[in-house]
Amino acid sequence: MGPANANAGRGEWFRKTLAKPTAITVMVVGASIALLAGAYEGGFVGAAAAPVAVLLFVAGVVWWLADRHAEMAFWDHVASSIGFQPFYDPTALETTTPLLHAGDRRFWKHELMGPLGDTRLTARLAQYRYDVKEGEDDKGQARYSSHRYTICLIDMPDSMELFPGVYLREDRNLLSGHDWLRGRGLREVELESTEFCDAYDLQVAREQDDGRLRELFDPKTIVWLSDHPLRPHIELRAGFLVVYVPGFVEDLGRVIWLLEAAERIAQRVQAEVGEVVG
Amino acid sequence: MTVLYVVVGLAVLTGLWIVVTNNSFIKSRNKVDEAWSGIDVQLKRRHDLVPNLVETVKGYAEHESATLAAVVQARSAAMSAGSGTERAAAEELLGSALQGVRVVAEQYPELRAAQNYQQLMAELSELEDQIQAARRIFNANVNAYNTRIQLFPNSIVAGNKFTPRELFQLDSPAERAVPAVAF
Repeated sequence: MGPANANAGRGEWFRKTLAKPTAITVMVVGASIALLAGAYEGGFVGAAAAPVAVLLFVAGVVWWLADRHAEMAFWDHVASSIGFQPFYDPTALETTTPLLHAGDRRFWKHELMGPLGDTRLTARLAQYRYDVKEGEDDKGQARYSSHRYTICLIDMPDSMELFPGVYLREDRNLLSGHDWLRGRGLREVELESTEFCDAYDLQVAREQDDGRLRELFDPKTIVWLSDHPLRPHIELRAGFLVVYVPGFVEDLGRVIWLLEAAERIAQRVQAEVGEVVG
Repeated sequence: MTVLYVVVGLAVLTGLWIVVTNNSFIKSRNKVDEAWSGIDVQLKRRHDLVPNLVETVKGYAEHESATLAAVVQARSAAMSAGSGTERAAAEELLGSALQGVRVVAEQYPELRAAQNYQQLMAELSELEDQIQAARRIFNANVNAYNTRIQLFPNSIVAGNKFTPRELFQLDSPAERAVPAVAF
């Protein structure tokens, strides 16, 4: 059984690594040198403070390594649990939907791809961060605000004609922060459910057919989305479906929830496309 | 003069509040109507499915004419029913009649195996799920609307212009009952 989340096993790895002869040697030698150097430079206070500083530094480095180790172990476990493989060109995803080319710079972590349930589609799962330049500090260094998401992208080229742009996000207000959809000439649509409208904000491309949109969001889908504990967000544009949630998802249960949500939404889109094509 | 400004200011604020509240009631009422049309669409789809289902079952189970006649009759009643409670009762009856068809089908393995029947039953199940979801949306909208117009001081603005709506409820004890599970 693998780690249930990205922090599982971190403390144990930290303790084990610190107990290794190499780490103990580094700490003893480092602290001794720091003691001598501290005593030489700063007398009694220096002799006391320098070894402590060295020990804290080593512990900090080991903790950082333990954190990375736990994260990697968790994502390896995720990949084997859901039957996904790593993929290595996430920048190709940046040309797909507005979220994935938002902001001034973008970063990707733990990119995995594999079959999406029974849909015969391929899904790409990743942690995604985009940064928006907010200005410069006193030293002329750029200041950025970061926005983190866990995304699942599915290539659905047949949907391009029916759904030129559908964007479903959690209901936004003045404090919601950077809006990557602003200035795209979208229009807001309200579906029939008060509960759904309180939870979500639905925007579509101007040319989107409303009848088709309402078919996509049938009553069952509306109720399912309103009740879903993850509140999955959707971007469907140019034949790409992105199902995402804010923040980095770091436990297996939620990753599976996200994939199941993506599968269900992809099936809805497939059904709508199938109705027209069939 | 100051008193006059205060009075005028209060009057303007009150007027604004009345307009905003009134508009929110209208919006909320429209949502209820929209949700009702959502239920209506799904119910009509179910009505459209019934003739095909009856024809299919008739082909395999000729001796079940009473059950099939009940379905046809329930469908006619549902289609001609008004709205609100009357409609809910008629649809309920149709639901029970369709349940009867399912029970009948249990006795005819050939019917159950027929692809056409399976497809119709799958469509019927999907429609029933959609009706249930649409009904939940409608009832949630009605609750939100009723609460909004009945709360004080909103009730002053609502007056007799905005009246509470009825929920689309199930009356069938069979559907309300919790299934018994035995091990």
